[in-house]
Amino acid sequence: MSEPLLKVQGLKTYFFLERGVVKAVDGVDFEIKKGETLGVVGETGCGKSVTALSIMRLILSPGKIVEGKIIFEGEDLLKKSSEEMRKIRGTKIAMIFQDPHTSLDPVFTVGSQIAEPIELHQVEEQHLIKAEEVPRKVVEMLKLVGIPDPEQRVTEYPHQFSGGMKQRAMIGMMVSCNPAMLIADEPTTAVDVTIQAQILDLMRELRRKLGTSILIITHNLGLIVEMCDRVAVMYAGNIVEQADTLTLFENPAHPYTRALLAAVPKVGVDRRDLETIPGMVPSLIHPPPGCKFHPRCPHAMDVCRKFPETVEVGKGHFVNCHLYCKGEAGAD
Amino acid sequence: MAKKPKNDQKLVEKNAKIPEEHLVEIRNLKKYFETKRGIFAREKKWVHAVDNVNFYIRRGETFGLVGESGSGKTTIGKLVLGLIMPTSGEIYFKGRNLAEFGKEELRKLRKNMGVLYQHPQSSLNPRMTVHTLLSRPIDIHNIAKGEEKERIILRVLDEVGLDSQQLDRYPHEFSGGQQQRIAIGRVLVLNPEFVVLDEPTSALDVSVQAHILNLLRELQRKFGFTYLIISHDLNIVEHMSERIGVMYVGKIAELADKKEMRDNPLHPYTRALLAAVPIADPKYKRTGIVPKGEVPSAINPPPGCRFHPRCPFAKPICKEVEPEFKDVGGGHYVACHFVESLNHRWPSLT
Repeated sequence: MSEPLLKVQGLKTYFFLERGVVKAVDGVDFEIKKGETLGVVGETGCGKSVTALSIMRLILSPGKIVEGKIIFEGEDLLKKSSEEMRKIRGTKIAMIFQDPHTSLDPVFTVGSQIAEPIELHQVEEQHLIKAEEVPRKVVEMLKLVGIPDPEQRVTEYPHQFSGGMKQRAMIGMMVSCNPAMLIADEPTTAVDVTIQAQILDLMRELRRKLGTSILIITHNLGLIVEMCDRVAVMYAGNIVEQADTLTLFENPAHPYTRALLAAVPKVGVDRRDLETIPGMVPSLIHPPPGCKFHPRCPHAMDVCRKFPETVEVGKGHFVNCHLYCKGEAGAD
Repeated sequence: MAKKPKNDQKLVEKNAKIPEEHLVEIRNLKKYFETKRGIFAREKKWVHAVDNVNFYIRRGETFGLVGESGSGKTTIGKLVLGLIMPTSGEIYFKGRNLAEFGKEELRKLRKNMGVLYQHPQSSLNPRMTVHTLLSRPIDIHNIAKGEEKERIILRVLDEVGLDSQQLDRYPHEFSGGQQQRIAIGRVLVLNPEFVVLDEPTSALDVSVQAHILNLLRELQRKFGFTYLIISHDLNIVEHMSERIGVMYVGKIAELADKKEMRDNPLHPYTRALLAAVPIADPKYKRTGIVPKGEVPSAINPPPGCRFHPRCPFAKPICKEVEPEFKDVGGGHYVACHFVESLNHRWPSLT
């Protein structure tokens, strides 16, 4: 197997607030192979978006990446200067955000906004194309993402685009410099279901055409099933389980994953009541010791107050839970 | 100058008797909103938010309305609650037309109707304590005073899973799920027969959502509430409802029992929706085709069948004639010209 495209090791991103240190991401490890789509799923505040922003090195004060490595194409992004990082953003790693209404600037035409990264990276930095070719390339990008009448549309402003089209334009902008990796943070949360299905189709098509690796950040388990090869489940700043999509849904190992899957209503499944998880998501300033899920876990043992090792329970199926650490649990 | 569209189709006779078991019945309901584009624009336009909708809700059942944004589902919720008046058509609550109610009567009627909105943060007054929030409806509707009132409040608090020590706190001190519990408590103190749930869990995380949906069903079992649940999420509507109406640009495209809707969806839009909704189950067999294009504007909705520009089976007649909303058997209503020929001939796609 070839080297993974992205390898995140022991990533810790903390926010230093007056009332304490918020451990938003507290030791996260995962990797993404070339052409692979990894989904990071979790509830509000589990650290999934902060993980994505850390990879892009877009963490602002009072946040800080305090530990870890982010190896991208063999080099640690955390050792790059901000100038080097600026060149990587957009050309190598691109990011799509949740709300296309706020990610496009209302006072510039959509065309000029798509042209900007192309001019900056491909014309000025890499000299791949000439300045005169930029307008043609912009139209080409809009065509690629399936916007009708692209020649007309480039001259329009974001308010003239619908939500779905704005998100398409964003995707067009992001893939314009052929990034090796695309990070999509809740890419379809702001659009309707039929439009969501179209956007997902588009992302699948681009993945096939361009071979881009995708990191999808979402709270929507349905979207994971639709898009991802592998899934990482996050809880309170840690990845608790990682597996290929089918294994994770068919054979979830971590008690949190099991509870999460059972809490979702699904079309075609009749249940009187949904399963619920007792208690609330813990504070990230004073998280419980050891496994952070233990206060809510039906299988909690004394040993859970110590942080569990990561165990490989099946091929590529990693779990962070004492139930699977045989030695320790047995000794207890 | 665009004319206000006339009342074209009368599906139900105006004075047909309302069966006793229909707590809510809606007949030929229309709601158009006026818009003016630009400051100097003279031309009036009409948003056809709800355009000739018919359905009823049985006592004690949960009726679900599912649709994308702008399909008119929230407008129907407001109309049923008597918060806005229809352009035409009738809404019957317990056999009486809402239009016949006087102002004072309508106020009394609302005691019998509850509503739960999407964002508890904005539906709870931030300057009121939980105690005030819960006692206000009791005072306004003159339900109880003194000790009796306190007893009701404590009981309701217990029903929604909060405790009496939280009575003096303000909404911002609670999590989203707890805020929604307070909002449910405000409905509960009035002990209404009918409750509109407008996207009750859209702002919540899945694990919190499960708590709230379970609580709503438990309260229904206990107090015999009749629910109208409105959501864009088919997964939730399917979980909660006995019967479901699928809305598309101001109209109900299809209406059926949950099981019938799942096993035998007939309208191409319903099939499209089932094809588009991501379902958290890798083994779920997906059928149907994701529609091309976007949801049309309700200002100038397409003539004929509103789904025709996106429908893979559209024929010339679909562009001109509006399909009838008809019963294909067993209370399964579909508005499609080709419902007979499409039946059982769906291309199976994965």
